[in-house]
Amino acid sequence: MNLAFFRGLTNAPAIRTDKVRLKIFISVISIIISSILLCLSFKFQWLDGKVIAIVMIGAAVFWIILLIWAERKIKYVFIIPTTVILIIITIIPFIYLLNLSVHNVKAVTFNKEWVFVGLRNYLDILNNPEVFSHLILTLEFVIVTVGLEFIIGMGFALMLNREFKGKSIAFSLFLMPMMSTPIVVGLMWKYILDMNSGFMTRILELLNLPIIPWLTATPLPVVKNIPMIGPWLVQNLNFNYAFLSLIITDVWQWTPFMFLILLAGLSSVPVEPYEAAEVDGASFWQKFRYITLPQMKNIILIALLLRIMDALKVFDTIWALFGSSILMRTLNMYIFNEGITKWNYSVGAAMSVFVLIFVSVISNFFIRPIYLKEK
Amino acid sequence: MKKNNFKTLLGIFTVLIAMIWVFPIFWIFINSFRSGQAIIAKEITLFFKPTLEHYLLVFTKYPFIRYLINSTIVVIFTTAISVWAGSLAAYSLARFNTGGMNYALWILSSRMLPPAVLVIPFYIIFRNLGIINTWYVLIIAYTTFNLSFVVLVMKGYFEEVPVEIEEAALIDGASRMSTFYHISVPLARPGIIACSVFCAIFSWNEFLFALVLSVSKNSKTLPVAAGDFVTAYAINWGPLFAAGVIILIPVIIFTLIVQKHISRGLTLGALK
Repeated sequence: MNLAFFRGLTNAPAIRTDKVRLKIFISVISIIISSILLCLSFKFQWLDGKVIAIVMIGAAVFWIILLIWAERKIKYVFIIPTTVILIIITIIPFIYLLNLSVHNVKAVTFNKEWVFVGLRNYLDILNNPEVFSHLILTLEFVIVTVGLEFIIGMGFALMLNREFKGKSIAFSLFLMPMMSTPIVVGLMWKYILDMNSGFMTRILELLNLPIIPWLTATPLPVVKNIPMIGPWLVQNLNFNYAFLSLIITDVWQWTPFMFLILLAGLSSVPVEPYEAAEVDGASFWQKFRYITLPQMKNIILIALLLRIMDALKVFDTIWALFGSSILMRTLNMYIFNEGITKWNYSVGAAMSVFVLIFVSVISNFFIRPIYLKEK
Repeated sequence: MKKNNFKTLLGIFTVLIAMIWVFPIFWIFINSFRSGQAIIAKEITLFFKPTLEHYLLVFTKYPFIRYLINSTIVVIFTTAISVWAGSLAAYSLARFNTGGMNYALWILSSRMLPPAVLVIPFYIIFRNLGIINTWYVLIIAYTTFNLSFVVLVMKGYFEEVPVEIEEAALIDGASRMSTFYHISVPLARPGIIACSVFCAIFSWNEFLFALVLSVSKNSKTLPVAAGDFVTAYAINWGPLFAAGVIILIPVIIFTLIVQKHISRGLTLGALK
């Protein structure tokens, strides 16, 4: 891209680092101040529909004027709508969340004075053994599902990385699960695994096999019968049929995603190294280990990142399969239950901040090697 | 000859696996035409007398037409806002690298945000503004994940538009805005269409925000309405399947439309 040409054309001055830093500083300060003002205005209810409509129309008019008159700075004019919208819908809620989490606010005390409690909500959460088990469940869910999806998807991709008839039909079919509405998928599997009239139960009855109590807390017999550690595993690591059902549902829905991305990566790996390896007499495993994996490292990281982020977001499937039962409560379910169902806003907010930190740590770990490599 | 046979076999095998994989969806589709008794009957039958009773029930006893309208309007508006604002920003990012890496990273991180984190502040803020249980609140809420998606994916599509054409237009005296609308947007049209369809699918499928922010009849969306068939005492399978099919049909059609762009869209433009 010929940036110098554009700069010459638009007469934009060369960028000076100290000036840019000052600008960033000023804009960050102004965002924080305006956010605090907005939070206050929510508290004292200064805002209503009319005020918002007037502000929005004013902003739109201002933006159009900028569009016409600020031709030289058009690149900033172009990102204004997105920036403003993203500030309103992510930064302000986040500051509001922080504000909530250091007070003790419930639905009943919301309109009264908010009691400042400092970090007590966070400490309560950290000391709550239940929350620890939810955290374990969430981590376990993410690791098991993403791991399984990766292995199955990789297997499919390696198998299908060639041309054959019917490839496009198979692909179109594989696309369907991952684009389907998660809540419908969850309800569908709730029906299939249902103990009274489910499809799986019917098949088992036909084959005269014992009925499997899916979707219940019945421990997996295989794990339970392991001497010594079996009961402990069931107790602490959720080796029960409910968790298994959840994993089946998620793996069914998201394996095609892994498969598609990995296949796209595989088909972009050049053929020559494989030919050379063949001449040298490499085995299938050696080819996979020393050619395929290094070539696909980036794509594997992307696939894992996106899947881990989605697995951390999961709510719909669990809601469909188990409702808000205590059986399968991930961190997201906990936020929903505390903050919305029980109207315990502050505890939910503190938990949300924890989840946010948790997610950003994990995503940073992946984002650096993928998106931050300078072009 | 032998190789050809192997290819055919592989093709049949793959299509078979794919069919088994999507069998649950097919089964739900079939079951939605079964009568209520047949769904919970002891034996599995493939051939039966189809009935439309569940669809009739869904549209007469439950206000599903209203939910359908709600869903459609929310999807259309959130898609329009996200694609409009997002393409502008994506163009700026692609051409001028505005804001550098930090800005792109901020957008990416807002895409990574779990919706459950935003639910509590959204609920309280919108309730205080008095716009809960309306279309507006869902449109705003869905923009959180759609907007960042559009920026990230469209950036890649705009980078593929050759700069030379735009330069030629600029030299001919076009303003930046008209270059954008008359040159870049038409050239990136496949990307814009794909992005819109993706946004529509994501918003159509969204559940958590809809569950928390709009539970009244006036603004309830289809996924929440489908979830309502599951109660603590009994599950009404028949209408549930009918609702599921109504929700899934547009998604499947849209998916087939964007098939070509899918690996690109779903990896946020990381994969071309």
